[in-house]
Amino acid sequence: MSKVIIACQTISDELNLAMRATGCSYPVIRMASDYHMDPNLLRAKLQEEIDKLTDFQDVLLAYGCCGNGLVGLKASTAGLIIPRTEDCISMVLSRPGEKFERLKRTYFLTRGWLQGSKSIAAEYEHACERYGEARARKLFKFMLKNYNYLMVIDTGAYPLADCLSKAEELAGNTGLEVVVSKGSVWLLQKLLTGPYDEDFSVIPRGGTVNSSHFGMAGAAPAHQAI
Amino acid sequence: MKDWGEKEKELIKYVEQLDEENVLKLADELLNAGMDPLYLLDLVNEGMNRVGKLYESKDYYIADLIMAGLIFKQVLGLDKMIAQFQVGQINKIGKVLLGTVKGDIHDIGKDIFRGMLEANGFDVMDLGVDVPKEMFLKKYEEYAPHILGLSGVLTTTVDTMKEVVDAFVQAGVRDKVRIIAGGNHLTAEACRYIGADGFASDASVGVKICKEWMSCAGGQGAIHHG
Repeated sequence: MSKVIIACQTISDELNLAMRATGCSYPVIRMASDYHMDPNLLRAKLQEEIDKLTDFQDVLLAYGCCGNGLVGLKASTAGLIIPRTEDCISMVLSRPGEKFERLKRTYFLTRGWLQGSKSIAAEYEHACERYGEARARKLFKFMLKNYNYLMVIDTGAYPLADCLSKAEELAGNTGLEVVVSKGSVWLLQKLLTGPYDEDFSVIPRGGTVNSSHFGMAGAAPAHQAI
Repeated sequence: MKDWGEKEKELIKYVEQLDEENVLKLADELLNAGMDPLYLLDLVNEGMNRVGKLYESKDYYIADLIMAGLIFKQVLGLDKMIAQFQVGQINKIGKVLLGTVKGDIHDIGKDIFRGMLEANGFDVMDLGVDVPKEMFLKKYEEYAPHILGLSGVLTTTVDTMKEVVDAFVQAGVRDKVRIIAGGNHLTAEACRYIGADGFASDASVGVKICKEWMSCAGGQGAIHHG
């Protein structure tokens, strides 16, 4: 076997679509979404998985830089191939060859993001249970004071209707406006098929991921794990 | 000093449990019974630290952190606390200019940091979110802070924070201010790259660093990495 995929559960739907579209059948190790809240923990958990691998030439990491959670990873058992992107938002909203500009005052959602145990929906439910609905609304008004929009990204990888109705309910409770934007799984598909051009960083076995592998902090010396 | 016995533990526990009503009731009772407001604040701080740990261990949600911040603010708003801090106006231990850097609107950590700085005797000017480097410089000239606090969550803020520090270098004022970077994506290497004097991914650690800097009486000291 030559390649294995390690992917965040958050983009499970999108990875499944990309695999179907490309006929890819590499084994997939799926990691809990919650690690993204703690980049150090994410790095440690990913390293654990990489260290356990045997007989693979390359690991395809279905991640972005993810709060520097991937910076510092060692290609201990196989080469690492990583999309040069900031996080899963830029991964599904960017377009080939274009610089990604993050929309301001916007909270992003897909079905995968809603399903996380610490998703905004889970947060709201928890707040309602603990503090009652009126207080929860006040807390969320405060929490989301810098946001105007709740953007549902239609990646084509899941039925939009369910996600949209949950988003509308959430928006009603938090005073945000729902917008829908078309996303894409082109970068994930390219991760599965190659070519591994400027959209990816390839870290040979024995190497270490650094920030320049994500096209950020380009001027930093290679030894700096930014 | 008067022995407050179990009441101290009770207050810490109420804060930890985010029991708003009982925190305020007991804090008021203790202040009226003669507890030093600064000592009471230490107890509330201890409760806040426990809330932070419960968040790290995934038992608490972001909404709970916000609730903790609101409770903290209300304690500071009790009559005897206001009296203490009005008297303390002339004895502020330092001035901090704070903001979330351009391109990012996350501010939950920043707001907690600000609250804790104020509770610890700092005068804080908070510029809010998405703050361009020019604004940091302009307000620096007006406010002449001892410390500049740069906050951010997104991975790309490492570069944005560096741009702010570089702007201070170009303006010839970098050596006149200590700079602390805040965010859970930061590492010692990122801090060096940014050119900050210290960093923290935890508000209480950030406050500790700022207090240490001020106790150096504005002199040149070692770089602190929380």
